[in-house]
Amino acid sequence: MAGRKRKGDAPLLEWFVGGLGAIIFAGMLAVLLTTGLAGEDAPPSIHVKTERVAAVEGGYVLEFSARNASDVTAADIAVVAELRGGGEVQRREARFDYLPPHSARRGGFFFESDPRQGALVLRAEGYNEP
Amino acid sequence: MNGNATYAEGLGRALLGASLFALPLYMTMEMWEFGFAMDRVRLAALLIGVFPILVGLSYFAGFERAFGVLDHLLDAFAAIAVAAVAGACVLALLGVLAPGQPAQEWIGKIAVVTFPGAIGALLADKQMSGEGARDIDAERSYGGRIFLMAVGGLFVALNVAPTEEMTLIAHQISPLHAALIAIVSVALLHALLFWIDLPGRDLRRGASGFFPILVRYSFAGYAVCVASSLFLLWAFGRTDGVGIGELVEFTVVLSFPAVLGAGLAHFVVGERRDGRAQA
Repeated sequence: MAGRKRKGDAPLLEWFVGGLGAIIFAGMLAVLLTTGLAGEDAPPSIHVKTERVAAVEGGYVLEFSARNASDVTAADIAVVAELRGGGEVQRREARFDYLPPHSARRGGFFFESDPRQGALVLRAEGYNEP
Repeated sequence: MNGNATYAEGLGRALLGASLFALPLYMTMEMWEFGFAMDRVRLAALLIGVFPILVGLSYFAGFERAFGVLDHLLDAFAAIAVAAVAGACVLALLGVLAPGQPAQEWIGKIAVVTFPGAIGALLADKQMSGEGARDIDAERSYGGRIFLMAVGGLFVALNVAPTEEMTLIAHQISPLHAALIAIVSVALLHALLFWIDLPGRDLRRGASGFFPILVRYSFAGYAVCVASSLFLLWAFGRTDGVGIGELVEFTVVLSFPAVLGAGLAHFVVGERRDGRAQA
């Protein structure tokens, strides 16, 4: 950086900060290129699981997490829940804008009856490529 | 004052500059999304492509010295360090970097904002050093002027390139409308360089007539804006699966803000001080 009044050897701090920058630069490139070139052929793999169920006013909320176990980002992911019990099916849908690689996002579904009583199916139904 | 203390002052200015120039991008949703959704190889290409720009900026902006290449390399790396630290701090402060996100996501988000931040760091260190801009542009070579136009265009285009509006505007307009934008862009650049009385105008104009300066500066400047815009569009994945007609419209739309940066770059960066380069 600037401001030095005399010509001469770079001050120690300049070497330190410059070196730090070089390490950051090389590190970022290494991470990006190794993941980028490691083959993105595998499609997104999204697992949805129940985190907890809580009673709320007027019914129940089921909190879930959707985890993307793949190396690619999925966009506009639709997660659906189907709760069968007492001869009827309650279907709920939630959407996420993005699910980055190896990360999880959380959401919730509202049900009138306790989702722990009955057969519950949670799954990701579709996505877009970002 | 010793060298380290003076250098630390410069770092402070650079940190401020990185934050100031890149803050609109730190607070742009699309930039965060690019952090994890953008093609990794293209993101790496963006960083690699920007590095020589940083070195060139350090060289052409000139820091009152005639040191070697090593010094400009150190400057470029220092700008990256400052921008990465500023980006990480601000993004964490804004909750964009959150615990529980994978390291990949953090690195991607920081990498995307590091590149505008590093340009900002170099510009600010120059602009805020309190030494005042003297006879701007006086000793810069033709190549240096075109280079600065490219950097200015790239920087301003970058501030709007991530947004959806760029493609939306292109969808809304007709090809004739796009042609009008292109003509207005060249006229605007020519006006910024030669009609509006900004420092360095007479020097650039020299003794040449209208057509030589139109071709040598205005059209050349527009060409580097188009190239910068295309590079950004490609890096951000906006060129994928797009027909040639639409791609031209995207480029024209993005080049429009870019010419403002190109036209004012010499003014923002100021003159080089070591007086070596001559056309």
